[in-house]
Amino acid sequence: MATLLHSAVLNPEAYRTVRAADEGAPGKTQSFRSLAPRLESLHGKTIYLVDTGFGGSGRFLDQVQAWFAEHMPSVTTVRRRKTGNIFRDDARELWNEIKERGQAAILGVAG
Amino acid sequence: MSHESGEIEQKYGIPTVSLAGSNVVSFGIGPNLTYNTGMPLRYVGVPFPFSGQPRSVLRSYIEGKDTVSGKPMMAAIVDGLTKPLTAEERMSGNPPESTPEPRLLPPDTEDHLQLLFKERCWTDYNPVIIPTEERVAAMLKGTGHKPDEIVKSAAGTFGTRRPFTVEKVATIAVMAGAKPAYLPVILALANEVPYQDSTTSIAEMVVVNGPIRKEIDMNSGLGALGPNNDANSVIGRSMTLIHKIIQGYDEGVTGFASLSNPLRYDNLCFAENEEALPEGWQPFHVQMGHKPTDSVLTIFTGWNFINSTGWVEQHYAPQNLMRDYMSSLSGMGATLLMDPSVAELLNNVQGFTTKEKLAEWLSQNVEKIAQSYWGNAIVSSMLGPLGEQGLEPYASWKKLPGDAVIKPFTNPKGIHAVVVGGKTASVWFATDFMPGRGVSIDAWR
Repeated sequence: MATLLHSAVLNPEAYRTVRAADEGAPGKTQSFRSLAPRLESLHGKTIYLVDTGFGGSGRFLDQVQAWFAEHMPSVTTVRRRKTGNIFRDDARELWNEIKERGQAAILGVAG
Repeated sequence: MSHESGEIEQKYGIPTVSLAGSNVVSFGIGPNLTYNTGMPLRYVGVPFPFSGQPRSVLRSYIEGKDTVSGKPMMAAIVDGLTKPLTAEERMSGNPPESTPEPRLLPPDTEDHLQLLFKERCWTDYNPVIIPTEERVAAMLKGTGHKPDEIVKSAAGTFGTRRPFTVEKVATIAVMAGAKPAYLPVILALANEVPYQDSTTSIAEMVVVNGPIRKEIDMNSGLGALGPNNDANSVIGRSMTLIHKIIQGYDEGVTGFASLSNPLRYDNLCFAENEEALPEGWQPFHVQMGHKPTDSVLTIFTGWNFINSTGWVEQHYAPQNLMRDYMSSLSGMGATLLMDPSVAELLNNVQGFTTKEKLAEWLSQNVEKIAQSYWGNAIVSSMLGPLGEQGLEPYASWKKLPGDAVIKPFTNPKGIHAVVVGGKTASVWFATDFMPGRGVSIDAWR
């Protein structure tokens, strides 16, 4: 018959020794943050289509752009390729441009 | 991409839709929300693969369904920008604290505990040593650091918050089968989380330099890259367990390596054969600015590992075959792992009196065609944007005809050599592994 181990066994996922108050804990989640308010409609709006740099994204966004031209011609689409590292948020100038000249953005395609 | 979408939403007040392949979209919706952005970003899923598909297929994707909601894709995109926010999407503030895992597991049998460790993915699926309090306490004698000292906080995938202690690393060291003397190396290893993950077959390689190699009997000689040494094997295994338990790598949840990589089984853990270096060739850590008496661990990251197959032939100098094989690598960086006998030939016969001279020659002589260079998606996505910004030589290379010949290893400092092996064959590996920073093992003694 199997017997219990004499010794207590440490839990590899434990974080009892972490000082939760100042360090957080392993499973501690990010604070919730609200999304931006949505537009009432896209009619007459400018939407930025941002290629974030993954292979094939540009061609896919070509199709998204073509769909808007065909089905929602009042929407102006602006294509941009994010410069910089595809894994970093390093395109502040582009975000400023979108804020200044656009009303919405479609980013992609992560793969 | 979640970072970018989150920033545009949060700081600029602009609504976004994030497009992601169906292969990874669950990461954006799940772990990214929980541990990263804190925002339930509106994702639309694109059938995978999308890269390399003809326009007709991409068009069919546009006319097809969003893989997340099942709605027509363009309707889902339009809804994503216009549909009013739900209560969840408007939420702000701190989420309720999750209940912490207890420090100790409930009493159980050895067999049940082995099963539990497998069920919780606290294993590489070989049996682990059950980390009893006594074993962990004995392991902790391998370091002067206190058990409750925080090793690092930003430990989760993509640097998300997941702090861990010295005791936790000692627990994992026990599970891997380590001796207490290995603990400073394993702590240095843990200090470098998060390790690189990718949908591609990325892998890591752990190279140890300095006096610690001999102190813990690491193998840098005969059979050093194989499963032939306790310290090499167990420290390499520890990295796998750290990746899973500390970093939280969870296949299909936080990790999506399509094939993964067999090199991940032991993370290529070995020591450099410093004693067998030809005169004038420095140990890797000394090349990187450390003292010879420092004990240093370096994690290299890469994909490819090409074997010379046979020994050096009389009519073809080793650097020539290295050049030929390296032409199939991306050009972003390379590390040659070579037997001491190869290093001696390169030094004594071919005149490469330093590792740096060999790197310089390879940088000037490895060639490939531009089309093949840009055909590598990692090169294209990492270096292509630099070319778009006008940075040379990438800007010029982007304009070249496909069959134009380029020298992809532009920077000889990106080509490294590590000497390892037992001098029973003049063999070597050409890899595209690139080193991270050297980590002090002495700091964790």
